[in-house]
Amino acid sequence: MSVTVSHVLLGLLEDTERHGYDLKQSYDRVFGVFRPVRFGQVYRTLAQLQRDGLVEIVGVEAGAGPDRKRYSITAEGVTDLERWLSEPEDPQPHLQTVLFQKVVLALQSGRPAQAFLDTQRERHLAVMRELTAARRTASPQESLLIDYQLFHIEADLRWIDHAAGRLGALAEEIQL
Amino acid sequence: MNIVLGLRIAFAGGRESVARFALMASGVAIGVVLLLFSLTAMPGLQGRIDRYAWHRTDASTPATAPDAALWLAVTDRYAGQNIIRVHIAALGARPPVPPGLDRLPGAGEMVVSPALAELLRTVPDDQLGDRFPGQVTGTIGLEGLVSPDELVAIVGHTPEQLRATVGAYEIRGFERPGEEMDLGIFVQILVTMLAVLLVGPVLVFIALVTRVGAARREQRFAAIRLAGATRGQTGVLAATETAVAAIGGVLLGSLGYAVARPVAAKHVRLEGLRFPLDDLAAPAWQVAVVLGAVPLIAVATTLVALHRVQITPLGARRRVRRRPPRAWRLVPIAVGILGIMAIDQRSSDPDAPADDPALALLGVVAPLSILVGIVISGPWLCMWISRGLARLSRRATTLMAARRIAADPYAASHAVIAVALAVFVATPIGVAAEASADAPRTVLDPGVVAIQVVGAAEETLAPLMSDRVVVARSGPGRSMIVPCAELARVTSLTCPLPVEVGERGPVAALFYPNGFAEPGPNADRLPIDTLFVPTDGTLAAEERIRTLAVRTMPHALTRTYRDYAAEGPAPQPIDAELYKSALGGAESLFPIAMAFVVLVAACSLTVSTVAGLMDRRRPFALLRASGVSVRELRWLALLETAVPLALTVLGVMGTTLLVGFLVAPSEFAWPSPGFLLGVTAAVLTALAVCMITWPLMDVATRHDNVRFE
Amino acid sequence: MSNGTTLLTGRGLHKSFGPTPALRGVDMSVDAGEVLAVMGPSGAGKSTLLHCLAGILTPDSGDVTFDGQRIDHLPDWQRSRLRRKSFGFVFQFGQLVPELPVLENIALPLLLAGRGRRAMAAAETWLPRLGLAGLGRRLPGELSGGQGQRVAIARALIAGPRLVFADEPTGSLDSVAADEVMELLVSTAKTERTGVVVVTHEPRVAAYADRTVTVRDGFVVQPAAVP
Repeated sequence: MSVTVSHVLLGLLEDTERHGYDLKQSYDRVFGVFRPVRFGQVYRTLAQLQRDGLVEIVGVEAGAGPDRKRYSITAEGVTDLERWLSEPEDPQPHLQTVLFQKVVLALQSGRPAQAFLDTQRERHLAVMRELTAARRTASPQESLLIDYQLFHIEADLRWIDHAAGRLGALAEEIQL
Repeated sequence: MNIVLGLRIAFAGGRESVARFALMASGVAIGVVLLLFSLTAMPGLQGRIDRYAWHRTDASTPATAPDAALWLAVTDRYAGQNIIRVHIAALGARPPVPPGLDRLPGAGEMVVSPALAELLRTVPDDQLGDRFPGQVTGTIGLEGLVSPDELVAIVGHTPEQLRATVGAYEIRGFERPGEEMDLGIFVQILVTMLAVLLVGPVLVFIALVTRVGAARREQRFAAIRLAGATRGQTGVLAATETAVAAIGGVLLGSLGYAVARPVAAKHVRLEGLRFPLDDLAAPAWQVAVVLGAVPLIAVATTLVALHRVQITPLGARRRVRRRPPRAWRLVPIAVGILGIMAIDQRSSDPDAPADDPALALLGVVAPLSILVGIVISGPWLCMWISRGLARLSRRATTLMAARRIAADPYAASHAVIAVALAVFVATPIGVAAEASADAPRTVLDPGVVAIQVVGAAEETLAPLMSDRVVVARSGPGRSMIVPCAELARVTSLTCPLPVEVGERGPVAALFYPNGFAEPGPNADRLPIDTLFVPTDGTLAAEERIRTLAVRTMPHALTRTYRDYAAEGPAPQPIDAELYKSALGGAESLFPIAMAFVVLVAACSLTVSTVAGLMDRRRPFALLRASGVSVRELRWLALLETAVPLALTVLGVMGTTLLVGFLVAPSEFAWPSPGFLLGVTAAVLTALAVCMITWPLMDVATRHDNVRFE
Repeated sequence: MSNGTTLLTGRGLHKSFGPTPALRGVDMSVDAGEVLAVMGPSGAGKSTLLHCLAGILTPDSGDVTFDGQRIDHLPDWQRSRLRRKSFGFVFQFGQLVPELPVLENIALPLLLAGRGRRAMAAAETWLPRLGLAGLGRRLPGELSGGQGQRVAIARALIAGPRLVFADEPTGSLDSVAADEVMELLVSTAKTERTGVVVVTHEPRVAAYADRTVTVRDGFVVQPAAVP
């Protein structure tokens, strides 16, 4: 999760420099449905990103506390974000959270979400093909598990297709 | 409320529902036209019989006027056409007057029918006009004519002139329509059959039409049920839809009838004569019944068809396969055959009373029973044969057609009911016609004029006499006394001549002799019966001889080879027998009836082909996508109609021949090749009409038509 | 799996229905013996693509090559013959002739080819292979959806086609029946060395294929190479 949070924060910073408090608010507005992020986690992650050279502090306002610092993404940060966005995720249960975050960030940043979804579909289908092939030789118990996986991956894929069908409308709606 | 909704739903389907409506309405319209015409046949025929009435007048006719008249009526011929030539003289101030005239023509006057007036204008007098000694002073009104084409002349004389004329006698009135018309039992059966033959298939046709697109309609109704409609409501919807189409069709059909009636009056001929337009009109009450009943029948058919289908919100499901037809359907045929055999046995029994009402009843019931049997055993026959075909066939199309027929033998046989009935009625006639068709129609040689001069004084014959004329004299018992060698010169008869003539047939042209004999020693004293006058064989020469004969002997009957060779019926030899039997008329109505039935059959087959196509659009389209060619699908559809059609024709013909064989094994005859050819032609015609569905087969099964359904 | 030789190729396929473009330049190919799934949302042009490739429809432009021969410009009767000889078809529903028993429905392609009574014997051998033993005398109306589709598969394969086109073959089936039907279609096709092109919008059905092509808005989607 924390890996995801760090990339989401990078994504949110790509647009403009922000305060930590600001970032927490934006995060919750868009992705909070899954799990609101805690302040502590935001600051911990930002510190981590700063240490890795992916973000930098561009200004500190008067007063104490981390929310007075304004962060900005570095060139390394952008590269890292792009790598993450373009990388299809291996299908696994409850994957949609990450998929969702990627799509939103891609849309919000004006990157081609369609391409991402297409790549992701390929990955999902490949896994489904493997599972379907494996099921042919599997024991009944194993095939039950494979079916479970297949149906969940299929649900993801359906969401991907659905999202792909609605990208145009989404791009207009999503404001961070 | 429901009906309004029904209308909205019925017309909401855009092009397709418009097409279905058009198809149903035009089908019903065609049915209505056919039905009205079949109802027209009876008044037309009756009208003809009624109009003949005054031609039948003789001395025993009841008085219709205070005074009497002298009358001599002869059926004359010109170029193969009948001419009714009447010589008449009033005996008093108020003589009987035939219909179509205000008064009798006076001596030296003559009234003629318009058609004869026309003919007189174009033919030289010595060939025709001289037969009528008088000045044309008027024309006979249509009410006095059998047909606008009839050739009639009524020639006025003084009583003295006619009294001196051989064959004239006194009458007190003219025969009036209906008085003597009593259709015999056989004619009654015939008329009943004719009615069934004409009306039955048309009703079946209308029922068929309402089945068009049944499968699609059922789908639609399923959707409507899904939206919450009850079974009853879908029934109302279906009824509304059909009723609207049927009422449209009825209106269209009565319009079509109104337009087609004058056309029919112009072109339909019976014995070469057209019908007066007024006679070709179905009685008003019958028209009213038809116009009212057709929509009701259509609606009833729809509801019955719908009843067989369980329309659930989830789709239309055929109720369990329809019960296959059982063997009991053959019972009526068996009963009918037994009945006919019983009649035959009873009537050949010399002790049996001639006029047995039970026998008469049986005479009506037995053929009707066979008729009904043919209709209801059709599905059974279709089912078994198609099952056999399915077992034997090695071709996909044959197999598919056979299975389709076996799956719903009822539908398959309904489409061919008209043909079945037609064949049933036509086969005995075809067999009967065979006997006379093979033999020449007359023994007279071409160019010879036979003149019956019985009763004429020998000196009046002088103008006709020459060396080449063959004279035949009357012997006892209507035998003809003539030297054989001479008769052989003017006829196709060969020596020795038969002493007794059994079947008259072509010998009838010699005025019905019962036999022939060589002249004995005193033969010259016998009265002259018939003169045979050879001519050069031209029409003009023949008619000149005729005219000459008639001028000297107005009562003389004349016959030539041409009279028999001409198209149309053989001339009626003696006027007393002229059209005595209505059967003559009814029989010659058959060609028209047959043509009509072929038309109905063609319509029925076409509709059932369309219905079969609409019901299987998707499988057909998908088969076509899989590489089956349209040609094969067309062949399949053709087989589906041709197989039941051929089966029915053969089955019914077989049944009819079997009946004939059982009734009189010794007189059994196979139908003539000509008849079989005719039936084959009729079947092929019906199938050819069916081919108008071929473009539809292509359009309806194009893949892009089905893909979005 | 694919043996690498290309059996069927479509290049630059365009097809419009009236003003509506269904295909707007599709390139794709099928290898011999390959099972290929064509996916995409409804209205994307999947079925049109299948119909063009199978020679049911002719593309407005572009060409279709089967076994080294162009088939898109052949006259209708030649394409019909090709479909009959070289292709098999499985549609979503409604392809079985309702009056013919199962056995005769299966034998239909052979009967149409004039194989006569031997066709029925051949059809008999297909019944047990597709789990239809004992159902040969039933009419299509008396079968379940899955059984009906298995009959359709047998019919598509009986004449030994090079390629089977299946258009939403499981579209009217539940997931269990769909799995059975796909399993049978793919495994039997593999045994018979027949290629399959299956159009579907269901990922689980597409997962039976060796390869998936996605069509959207009349184009084949080319997955972006991972940077």
